Amino acid sequence: MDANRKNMNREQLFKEVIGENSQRIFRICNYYFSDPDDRNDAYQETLIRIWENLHSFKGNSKLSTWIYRVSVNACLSRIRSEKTRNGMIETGTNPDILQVEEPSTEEEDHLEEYKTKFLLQFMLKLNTVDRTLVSLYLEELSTREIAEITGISETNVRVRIHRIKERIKNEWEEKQHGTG
Amino acid sequence: MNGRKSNMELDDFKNRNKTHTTPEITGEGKNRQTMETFIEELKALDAKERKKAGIMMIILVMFIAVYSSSFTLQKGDMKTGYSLLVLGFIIAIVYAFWRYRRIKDVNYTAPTTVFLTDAEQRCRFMTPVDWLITIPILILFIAGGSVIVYSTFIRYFGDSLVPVFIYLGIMAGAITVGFWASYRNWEKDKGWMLKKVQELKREFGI
Repeated sequence: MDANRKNMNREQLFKEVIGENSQRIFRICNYYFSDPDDRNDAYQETLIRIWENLHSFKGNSKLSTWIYRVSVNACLSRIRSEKTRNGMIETGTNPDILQVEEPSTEEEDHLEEYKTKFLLQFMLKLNTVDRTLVSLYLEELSTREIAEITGISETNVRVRIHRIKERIKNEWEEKQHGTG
Repeated sequence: MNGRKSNMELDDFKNRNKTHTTPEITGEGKNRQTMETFIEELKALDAKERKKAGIMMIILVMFIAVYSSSFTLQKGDMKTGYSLLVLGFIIAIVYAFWRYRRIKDVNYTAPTTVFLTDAEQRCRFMTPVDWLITIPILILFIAGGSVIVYSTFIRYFGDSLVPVFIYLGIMAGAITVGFWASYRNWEKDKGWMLKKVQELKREFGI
């Protein structure tokens, strides 16, 4: 931890940490929960966990890695503490996300949006581990950082991400061939 | 439609979604919290937890004091019986306090695999450590109670062990009902959670 942060009290440190990382935290919640209420609850819960565990951050890892760890664990904790809830990505019941309508020829400009929806739909089908890996990968974290956060070996992370990349590519191609 | 035939690369999404608008904290309209009010709530939560821990400590000390004084008033075999019961109560209360802390102190900063393993331990109905503590406590209750019952009823039943057997029967019933009720309660509150954690652990290859 840098010298400035060492001199801060808990409240100041919390404000600074959240100020710098709120978007990261929210994005992680977004990968797990599609329902806005669930997402906001997960976000708030993550902030509470950060507040409670702030004293344990010794600066041995990067602050962002630490934040991702707490965020992922808080989201997983929320998933396991919720029995059934509509709109949760895990259950794959959010109809808005499941509806991936192909753009017509006139809507060619919307290809990027279509791809994003396809990615969301694809993520719905992934198990929790793969979804965690994809979310951290999309955050541009290195394999080592992902391994540090999840506790999975670097080799395993690499292999799993490679498989996911292949899978999304294949499913995309299949969809294209299927629709001509 | 050439565009649609383009490749789908996960890497293309790496820089997306970085402009999400985060909720200031959470909530809408009147319920919206600012950072300031949120921190105030967190502090209030901390104070409440400290108060709860303080009350538990006071209760613990009070129980120990009351039970300890009750057995010092006894003599002979009754004193032995009471001392066993008191010891059982003290261990049971310390154990209950320790269990409460164990359930509360969750390390969210650990790698996910470690976090899930800890969660699994916390969600279990009884861990080997729990059995190691619970069995001696029950033995102390049974032994202490038996000595007290025997000493109390010796004037009516002489050397007969009938009162002790009746006591043991009542204790066996109470322990069975207690375990069954706790198990049903655990099944409702934590059983499904344990399954979920184990499922997650399997997915993580732990």
